[in-house]
Parts: sequence; structure tokens; C-alpha cells
Amino acid sequence: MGPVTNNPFLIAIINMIVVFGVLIVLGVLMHLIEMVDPTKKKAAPKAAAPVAAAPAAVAAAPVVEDKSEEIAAVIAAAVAACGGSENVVAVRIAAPATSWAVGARAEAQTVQPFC
Amino acid sequence: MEALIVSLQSVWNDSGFEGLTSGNVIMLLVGLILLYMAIGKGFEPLLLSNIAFGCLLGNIPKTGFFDEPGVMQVILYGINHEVFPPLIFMGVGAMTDFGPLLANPKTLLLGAAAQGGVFVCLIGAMLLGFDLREAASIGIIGGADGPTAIYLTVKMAPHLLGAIAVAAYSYMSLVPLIQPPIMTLCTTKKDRMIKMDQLRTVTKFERIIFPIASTIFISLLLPPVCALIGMLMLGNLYKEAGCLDRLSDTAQNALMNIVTIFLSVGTGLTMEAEKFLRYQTILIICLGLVAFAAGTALGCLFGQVMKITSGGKVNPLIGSAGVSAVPMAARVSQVVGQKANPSNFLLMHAMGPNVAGVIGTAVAAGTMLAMIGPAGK
Repeated sequence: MGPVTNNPFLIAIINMIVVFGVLIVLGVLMHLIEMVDPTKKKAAPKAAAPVAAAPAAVAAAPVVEDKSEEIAAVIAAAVAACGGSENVVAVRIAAPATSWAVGARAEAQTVQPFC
Repeated sequence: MEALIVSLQSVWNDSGFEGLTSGNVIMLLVGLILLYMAIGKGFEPLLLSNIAFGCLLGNIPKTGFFDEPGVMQVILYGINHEVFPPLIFMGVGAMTDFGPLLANPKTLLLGAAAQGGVFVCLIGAMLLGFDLREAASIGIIGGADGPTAIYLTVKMAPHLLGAIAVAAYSYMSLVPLIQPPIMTLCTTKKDRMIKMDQLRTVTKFERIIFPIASTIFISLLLPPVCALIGMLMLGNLYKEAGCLDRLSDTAQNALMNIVTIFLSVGTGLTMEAEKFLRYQTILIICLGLVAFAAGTALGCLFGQVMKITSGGKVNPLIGSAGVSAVPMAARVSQVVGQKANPSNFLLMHAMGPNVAGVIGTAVAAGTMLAMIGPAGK
């Protein structure tokens, strides 16, 4: 079977409509998955917890996983020296991630060498 | 003495020097320049160095690479029968985080808008005299997705594979140079300074169900790209399942590296002088640049539309990431956004349109295959 049409403008328009249509349906699919997600209710309180805790923690010492308070103080000082206006609430060790995520972290650290 | 001369003559007659053409010499120089760009300048070295070396190997006469059984025939089989692009997609899937996209599905539209570059290029190619299948293959360079470009070109215009693959990968490595001026042109400083809200948390359930559901939907709609989308999502399932870490690790590291070597060396092998040194190649290189630029501009302009419709909550810079080139295009959005506002972190927001662009390019390829049909059919 040959091409449906040889008109490039028509091909472009039809293709763009299909691409938009497919991705819109994918978007709807994502919303549906979110709606039927049985684990959503369990996850919600966890996600809300840090937001609620944040105001109280602002004045308190930063929460640090398995590290001394001195290290937390050094990190907080570094953030302040870089012009950070927010208080450091928590410091955690970055979890192992994909190659790209590791690359992105390295990129984020090198993009602003002078803050 | 005579025996020595006859032997030397025989060695000369069998040597590559005897069959070396001026075209081969030019392509050897092209290969050396590409090697310099890859290793000396750091332009996409993991891919370009192999392509360049493949180009050197492909232009040495009398090697028998193209007509005698051997490792090069196996590599070329993988290229010509679309074995490697889906395997690369499996690795890409294992490295892809669909979380930002699932958290903000509206960014899918940016991935769709940036595919406009593909069709701008297709129109341009047809106006310049390429036939429909050639134009479709050239247009897909605008998707900034190497495996998809190779996949579609092998099916539609295999004689252009070398030029299209080199253009696609060269421009992908030049994304940090090509995109920022266009992004700056399409946005104001105020636009670039917009800070976007933090994305919601995406549950494990969503992360696992999405690759399965999207594979079924897209594959049923566009079976020609089932191999690409299926492998992309299978790789992602390895990553998200939580109990397939070994497979995920293999897909995103060992397998990805092995297939990258085969795919890129095989692509270089297709850069034979007779096929590559044509006026068409120059046109393809120019059209590829147009496609990239148009895709970036259309992504940013659609980002402007989303900025207006969202009441100024969307930074239009993330639109440029819709051209795929994962994750480099998203990094460019981050860098350009951070130049305007040092406290701006757009990377995760830009990853949404970035991965949407991968899906969008595969969908565009599938649609063109369905509408136009593969070569010889």
C-alpha cells in the first residue's frame, strides 16, 4: 500500500494531531491511574508530614541522618555562605540512584560553582 | 629476486592502498575530525567516538565487511534489522524517571509541541526535492532521539542512514550550544525567572502501572513502534518494580554500553564514501539543524501558551526540553533558567516534557510509518 497522501503540509498536520491526541490520551491515562491508586491514601499522610513539621523545625537544629551536628553546622554555613535565605531543616544522605540521577546531581553541583 | 617482486606486488594488490579512492581518503579525514570532536572536544564522546571509528573502518577498502560473514556483518545485521534501537530504548527506559511526568501530565503537551520540528523539517526536505520517505527520515532528526531516527531511517530510507545518524547525534551533542539562543529569543527575562511549584509525590503504584498501561495503549494504536515503546517501558518497569534491580542494573549499564558500542560502530560503518559523499548529505545536515531549532522554538512557544493558561505558573523554558535528547535538553532548561534566577531549579520540571518528547518522537515515527509505509512496500 502506498502513502495516504504526498502533501507534506497535510502529513504534518495529521501527524501533529495524532501526536497531540496520543499524548493527551496518555495524560488522561495518568490521571486515571492516579485516581484508582489504592496506595494513595497511605502515601498522603507521609507526604504531608514534612510540611506540617517544617515550621516547628525552622528554629530547631537540622535533622541529620547518622552524622554529627558539626557536619550539619558546616552544611548550614555553606548554604548560608551561598546566599541561601532559607533555614536548613533536614540533611539527608542522597539515596543510590540511576546513572542519570547521579549525573544530574553532579551537574547541579557544578553548574553553580560560585553559587 | 623475481619471487620477492611478485610477492610484494601480490601484497600491494591485496592491500587497501591499491583500492583507496579519493572518497575514502575524504571519509577517513571526516572520521578523524569526528574522533577529535568526540575525544578532544568532548562532544557526545560515548557515541561519536564509535561512529567516527566505524567510519574509519567502513572506508578501508577490501575488508569484506559488507559482503563476507564476520563480526561486522553481525553488527550491520543488528542495524539493518532494527535490533539495536529497541535494546538501547530498554536501557533508556531503565534510566528514565517518569515521576515528573506523572506528577504533572500537562507537560506531555510540551513534548508533543516540540515534535513540530520534525514536521517543519519534513516539509523543508520535500521542498528541497527529497521523496516522502526520505523526508520523513530526515524530519525525525528533529525528535533529537538517535535510536528512533535510526529505527525509522532503516525502515524508510536505509541509504541515508549514515548521514541521518551522524546529523542526529552531532546535533544532540550540540544541544547546549543550539538551544540557549533560541530559548532566549522565545522568552523574556521575566519568563525565565518564573519559579515552578514543587511537584507532587508520585506513588510506586503509579510508577509501575504507567509503563504497562502506556505500552498496551500505544502498541495497540501504533504497532510499528511496539518494539521501541515496549522495550522503553520494559526497561522502566525493571527500574520501578523494586524486585528487578539486577535486570535494571544490567539494562542501564552493561547492556546499554554493549549495544551502544554495536549501534554506533555499525552506524559509522554505513558512512561509506559512495553513500555519504553526496550533495544530499549537506542538505540533511542543514535540515537537521532547522529541525532542532524549530522543535526548540515550538516547545518554548507552547510553553508560553501554558504559562498564560496556568496564570504564570509554568516557566516556558521547560518547553525546549520537549525535543527529547534526554537528559541533556532538560539540563539546558535548568542552566538557562538558573542564569536568569540563581535560585531557580527547573531540572525536574523539564524532565516531564523531556521524557514526553521520547514518547512523542516514537509516536511521530509510528504515525509516519503507518501513513507512508516502509520502503519497498
